[in-house]
Amino acid sequence: MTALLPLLGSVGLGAVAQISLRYGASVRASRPSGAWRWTALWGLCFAVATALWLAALRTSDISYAYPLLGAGYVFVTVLAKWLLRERVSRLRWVAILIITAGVVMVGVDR
Amino acid sequence: MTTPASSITVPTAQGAARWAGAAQSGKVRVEFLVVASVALGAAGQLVLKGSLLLLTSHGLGMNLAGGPQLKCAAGIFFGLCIYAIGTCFWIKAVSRAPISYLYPLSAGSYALVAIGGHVLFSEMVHPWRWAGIAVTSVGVALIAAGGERGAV
Repeated sequence: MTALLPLLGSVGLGAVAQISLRYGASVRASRPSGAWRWTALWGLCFAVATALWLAALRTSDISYAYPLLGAGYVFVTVLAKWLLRERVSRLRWVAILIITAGVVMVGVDR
Repeated sequence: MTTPASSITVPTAQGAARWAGAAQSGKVRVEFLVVASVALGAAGQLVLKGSLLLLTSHGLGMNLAGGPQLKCAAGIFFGLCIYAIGTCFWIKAVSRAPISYLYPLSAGSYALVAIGGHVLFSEMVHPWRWAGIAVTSVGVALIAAGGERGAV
């Protein structure tokens, strides 16, 4: 449990970082001066996510913690659909379900 | 670990011809980039873990000038550098080939890191965990098949 919290934080912030980067790129195309905020948010989230990953890795097996990073695909896809209104195909949702199953299988193996 | 998979495919004359043809079309180079990216990414993570184990085995003291803490910090920096180089290889690969072709190859990183954890740090990886890693890898490999724009 002690490793799961920083792991979850790392994956969640990593996903927010990816969404910020993507949104910043689209903002840059229409209004270049406003994009720096999103790049800054990406940098901040990325740095904190890395620190949390190191905290999680210190107390747990890498063969346990690393596969759980796969949850990032799930978070990014859900956030991209929800916030960026991206189209996600049915096959990709199937892939997300499979990843979720794999992550849960590893997650319960303690 | 960093041996390019493509180097195994050259021993016969036929293989050499295929190699030359593929090299001309740029295919081998992209595969090499992905394999290098996966290997470097996994190596970077394993170096991070090895560095953090120095702290675990010596406790978390406040004496930053002490050996283990300094070695740990240097190791973390080194691990992040290896990881960053791997990321550069990945970006290069993505710029040259469809992501739907690259993602399935990159999914091997989960298995590689788990094997490294087992071999280098004697981690107990139970069959259930191997199964979870395999299922996750299949899902990651499938991600790009779900559409043209696979960059999730």
